[in-house]
Amino acid sequence: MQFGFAIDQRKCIGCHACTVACKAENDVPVGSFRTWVQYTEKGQFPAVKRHFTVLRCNHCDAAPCVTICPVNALEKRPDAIVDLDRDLCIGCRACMQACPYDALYFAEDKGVAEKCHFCAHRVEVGLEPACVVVCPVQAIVSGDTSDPTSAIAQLIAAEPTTRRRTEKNTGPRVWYVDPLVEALDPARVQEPEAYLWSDRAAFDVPPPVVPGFEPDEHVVRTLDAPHKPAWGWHVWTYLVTKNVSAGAMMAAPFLALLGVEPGPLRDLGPEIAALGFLAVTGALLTHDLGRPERVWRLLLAPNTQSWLVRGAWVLTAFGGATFGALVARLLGAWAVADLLRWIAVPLAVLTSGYTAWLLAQCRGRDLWLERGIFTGLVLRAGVFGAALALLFAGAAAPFAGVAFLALSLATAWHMNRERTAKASNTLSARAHAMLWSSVARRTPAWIAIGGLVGLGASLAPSLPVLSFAVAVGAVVLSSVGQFIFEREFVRAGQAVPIS
Amino acid sequence: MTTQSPSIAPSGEPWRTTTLASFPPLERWDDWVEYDPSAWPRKVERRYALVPTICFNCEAACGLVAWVDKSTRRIQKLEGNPYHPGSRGRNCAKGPATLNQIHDPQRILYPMKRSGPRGSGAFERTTWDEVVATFGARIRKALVENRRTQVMYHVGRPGHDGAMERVLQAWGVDGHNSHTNVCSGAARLGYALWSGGDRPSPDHANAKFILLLSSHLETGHYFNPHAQRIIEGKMKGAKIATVDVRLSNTASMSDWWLAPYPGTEAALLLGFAHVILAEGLEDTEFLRNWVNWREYMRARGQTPDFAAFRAALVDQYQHYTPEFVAAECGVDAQTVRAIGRAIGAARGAFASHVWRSAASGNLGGWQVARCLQLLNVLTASVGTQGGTALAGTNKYVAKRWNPPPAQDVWSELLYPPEWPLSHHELSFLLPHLIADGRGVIDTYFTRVYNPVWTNPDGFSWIEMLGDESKVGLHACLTPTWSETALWADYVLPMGHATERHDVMSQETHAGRWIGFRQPIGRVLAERDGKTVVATHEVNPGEVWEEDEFWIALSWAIDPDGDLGIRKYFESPYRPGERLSVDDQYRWMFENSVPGLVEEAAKHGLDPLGYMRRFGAFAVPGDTLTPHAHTAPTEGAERNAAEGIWTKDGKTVAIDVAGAPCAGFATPSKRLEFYSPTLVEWGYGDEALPGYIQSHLHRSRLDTARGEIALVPTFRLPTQIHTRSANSKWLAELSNTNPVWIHPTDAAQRGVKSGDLIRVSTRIGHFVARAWVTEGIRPDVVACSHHMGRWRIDIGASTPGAVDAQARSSESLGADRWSSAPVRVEHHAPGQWRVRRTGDVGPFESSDPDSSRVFWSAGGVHQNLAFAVQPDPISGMHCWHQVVTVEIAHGEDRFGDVEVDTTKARAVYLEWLELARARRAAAPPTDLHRPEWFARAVRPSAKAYRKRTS
Repeated sequence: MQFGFAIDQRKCIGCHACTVACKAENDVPVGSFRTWVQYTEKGQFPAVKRHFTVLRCNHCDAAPCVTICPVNALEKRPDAIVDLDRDLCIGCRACMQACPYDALYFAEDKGVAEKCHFCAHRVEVGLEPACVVVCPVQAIVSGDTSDPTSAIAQLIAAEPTTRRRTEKNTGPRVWYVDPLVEALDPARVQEPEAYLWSDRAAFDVPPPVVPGFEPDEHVVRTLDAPHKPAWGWHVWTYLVTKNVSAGAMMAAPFLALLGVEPGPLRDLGPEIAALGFLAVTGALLTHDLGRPERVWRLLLAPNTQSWLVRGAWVLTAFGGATFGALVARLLGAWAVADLLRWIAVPLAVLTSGYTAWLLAQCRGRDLWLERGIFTGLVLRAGVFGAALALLFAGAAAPFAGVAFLALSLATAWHMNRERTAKASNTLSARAHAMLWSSVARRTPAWIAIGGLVGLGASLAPSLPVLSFAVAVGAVVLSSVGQFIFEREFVRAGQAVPIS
Repeated sequence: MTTQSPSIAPSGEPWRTTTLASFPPLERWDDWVEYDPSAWPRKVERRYALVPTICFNCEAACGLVAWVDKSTRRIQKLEGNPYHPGSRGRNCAKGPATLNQIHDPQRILYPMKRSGPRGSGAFERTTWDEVVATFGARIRKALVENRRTQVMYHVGRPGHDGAMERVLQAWGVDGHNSHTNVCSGAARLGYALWSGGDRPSPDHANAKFILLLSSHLETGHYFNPHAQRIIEGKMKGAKIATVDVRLSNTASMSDWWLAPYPGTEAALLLGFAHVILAEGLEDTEFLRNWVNWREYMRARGQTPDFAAFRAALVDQYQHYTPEFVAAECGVDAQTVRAIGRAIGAARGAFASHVWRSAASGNLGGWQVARCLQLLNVLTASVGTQGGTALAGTNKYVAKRWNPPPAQDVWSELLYPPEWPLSHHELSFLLPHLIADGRGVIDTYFTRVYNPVWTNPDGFSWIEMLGDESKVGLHACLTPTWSETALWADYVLPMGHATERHDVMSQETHAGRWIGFRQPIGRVLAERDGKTVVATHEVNPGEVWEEDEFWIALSWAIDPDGDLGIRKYFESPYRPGERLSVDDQYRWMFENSVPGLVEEAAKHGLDPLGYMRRFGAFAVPGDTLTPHAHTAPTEGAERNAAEGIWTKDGKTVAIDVAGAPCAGFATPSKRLEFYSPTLVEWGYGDEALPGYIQSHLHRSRLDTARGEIALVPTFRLPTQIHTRSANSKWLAELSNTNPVWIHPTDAAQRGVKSGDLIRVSTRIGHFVARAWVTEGIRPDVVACSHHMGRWRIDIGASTPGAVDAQARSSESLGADRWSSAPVRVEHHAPGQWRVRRTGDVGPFESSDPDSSRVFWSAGGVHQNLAFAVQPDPISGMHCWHQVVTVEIAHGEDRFGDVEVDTTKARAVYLEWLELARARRAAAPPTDLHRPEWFARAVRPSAKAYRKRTS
């Protein structure tokens, strides 16, 4: 038994009966949809038509939501249904980033993700999904694609079909008969400010048109459902606090070299800073969960494929090494402490950079799939590390100043390279354009200027208080730049309609 | 896993061919176990009882099945009813959305009585006893004083086949008013002139060519059942052409989208007729047998010779060449020719439909329906498989016992003499007819009717409803607040589709059926063996059902039976006792639905039990060709030359190939290509199907002033006129109405998508946003129905001061899912403005979804800015408007509507004069209207004649 849907767009009249029947069956909150109907108009008067496309979970054979779900709340059942267990879900919303079809939503009141589950609760008592039953024109066909006698198998065999976004290699199990191919490709469709009989939600801003990636002329999306961004301030703040923590331990073995005087700051400062920011990071991640009380599942009932889980391991290992170094130092086991500092360096790099691999599992967010994210994260962590050294050293620490400047310039250069890089596809290009047309475009300069000012402060031996204040200013400028960049990066990645 | 899969539904339609079933088997409807979706994938069993009813959201009366959680008694969802022959288990979005209406946190649960001035928004709770006593006494007084035209029942969404006829005739009043002349009145007249049947019933599923002048794949009569069958026909190879000025979903699914300039549709149709006749594609045998060509030839002073008739027919439409059509309508000549040929080639299987659209938009729109039916007649596609039958063939109205006699009075507030052929009441003119001094209303019931919002010239309605000397006492029968309810004296909550009884039938396809609406709670209680005396005992709050209200009220009017009214509301089974709803429907099902008793017996049920269980019944019988049935000719005389049998001077049968056939419901019993009735009533120039230039014909527009045609009538697949503001799921999908404008017209006016624009009519203006689109023809703008719902911001600036203590909430009117708060400003006599004081937005309620409202615009209430434009012959409001469109002025705000009702009055008088002028040359008559013309709640033959006192 391999369930799937065929949507016969020769018959679909765009009536939204499926949308509403699904809402009634599954109590879907206002503003969220498990299935919805897009309208796309193509052509010029009088040769113009409106095309209807029914969108929903594709019950993928290689479902990215299942891969990313850290707690195995998403499951590919033997009958091909991708089901979600709300009792297991911790509400991290990574699945919403992983799905290239916008098929999941966050049920805020329940604190969990929800999605089309092929009405498995009906299927298991012998009934078709609600959307299939209601359809006035029987345009939605559900059934067993592995049974050649089934209506769906016969339809797929008899008619040419298209599936959505096969470039994502997800193995989608929704087959479209005679769709408007452009309508299935968000890259080819113009997005207006409002729809023909519906407002767009405030967060649902049309994406920019990017030269070289223009949508087709006279293909306009005229009705669509809103999809709220899944991740917000917790996530961009966590990127910053995590990088501060990682940077501290990246710099730890080098503090003497960078001119930090012997003493408690040099001996314990990095560990205390790293553990402090790591604690904030953990708090942010937990607080961001829809169901924070289930956070233990990340470690005790994990999906080891998920970079959320692997990331948790990295953070645990990193925190362990750092804590060990701190304890060893306090117990006077200096050699052990130094060794642990060295062990913490690669763990710090991973702590900073693993997010790139998590983002790589976010298959729905093309901006986050671009290259260079790992390098960028680690460089920015390095900037924090050098900044820490600069502050710990006080004044007259030219090596710290140089390191800070060098890493800042490298970061700025890397960001600038990202900014001017050619995106690999339209959705990425649109997100890229949104990112770099925002205030984020100023942040490489802030980081570079921060580096220069930091160097200047480090070279001024005679006015320690003033130079320390200038160094603090440099670090603040650099940090604000980083914070804003992470914020815009997270926002832009989610801002582009992907369905 | 269970995989039961019955192959044929009892309605005779094929079931699904999948391994999963569409519905639980009937024998388990009392106790169906399914897993709770909110607990899934935990397998928590939920036990449902399934009870069928019928939808009340559009008029199609599709089947619904309420799935009631047996532990909580809550209706959990509504799915289709597989036993319903029209809807076949499927629904549009509005069917499942019924759930929102039932559980709407803002619904009215108790009878309310005005506690401040009319329109102030101040209401307080009252009791049903007080309501029934108040109205009973008042109506009794009116009847005793023989004021039998002063009690009026004004209905928006009808249904309830035969119910109100009985009530009003039992009271002896001429007081049935409808919404039909803002809806389908014009098309009905066009159809009725042909055949006596006022509605078409196309057999789309078997058609070879489908021509639609409305958007039947998304709205209209009857959206879901028609859409099913249109697509079925399409998949079997039928070609579809859709006529619409804007790109509808239906047009998008068609092989041809034709966007003629509005008001020229009849010319387009005659272009098709021209092609058919020019190329000899018509069915001459059908014409010879069924059309009243002899009458026509005689009227021309010629001998009734068929060949001569054919020549005359060709001649009549000679100049409607494709080239003429191209010039007049703006549709490519080759396309006209291609479609004309395709229609001709579909002979016998040409399905067509017009209901509102062109017919309801234009002066002369009634001729659009006549011209469309001409194509059916030419191609012999009347009452054929794949053709278009008549409503009477496919609709079945069960009779009620002991019918009261027809009323002996005629109300000129309903049928004024200037429009004797108006198919329905001149309902939308009511404020003006009263202002004319033609009468007043003592007691006024509006039921599921929102004239302040729906009708043109809503401010004149507000003026009338606010004036107690014109409308003495007004009860608004409605499940939900509306703009009209604000001006009522009593607001009486009536049940939704799941809370009352009702029998309906519609001509949805080549079949006949009745559907039974029933209160779910009552049915369940009775399944459990409980006795329910009245439905309101089991309904939410104190929500009544209409049937019980009218019975109670009729007893209150005539408690002792001295007025002769009470006897019609006594039980046929328990003499002298008050009628119960069970008695009422039991009698109908036992006595007046052919085949039902037998079918019920097969299932071991009595007829009422069958209808309670199945919710619908396919009435057997010929659903295509009753006109070809042999007619009894006893005592009749054959007139071979005319091909008729006559009795007492009336034609009783027509000769078709030597056999006496029943024919059609016209005086000639034939299809009246030539209408003697139109000639007799002074409209001889329109005796044949023809083209009348609309009031917005290009020659009448001052394009130099920027005048342009506005089409304000199109509807959306996810709204129900003004009745869906209480559905969050429908509001979520459709929540604003920008003005569609072609890029060329937009560029001329410097307008971009999203710009605020001022649209000016003859009596005022409204302020909307522009939607620049390729989906509309140039020279036309369009704005959808449904939107611009409002609620008054109480105390902001409403007529009359309100004591703050009297306010029950800060705003009152249309439901908040769709409405914006407004100030209704009345600056000076006739000077009105509606201005928004806020947006649609999130609100506090018992439903958490109300905090999730993400839409804000809500649209603009354009109908307020339209004057009445009654067609001089059909009386139908001609909806399309001549307007100017410009960038909004500095002081304009989105949603503004400003109107001068003194100008509205002047426009009414102009159109009244048009009607009078048309009647000026008519021969004198003592009839109010042709005797063969139907009327809702038809008065006696005596009342059809004017009193000569």
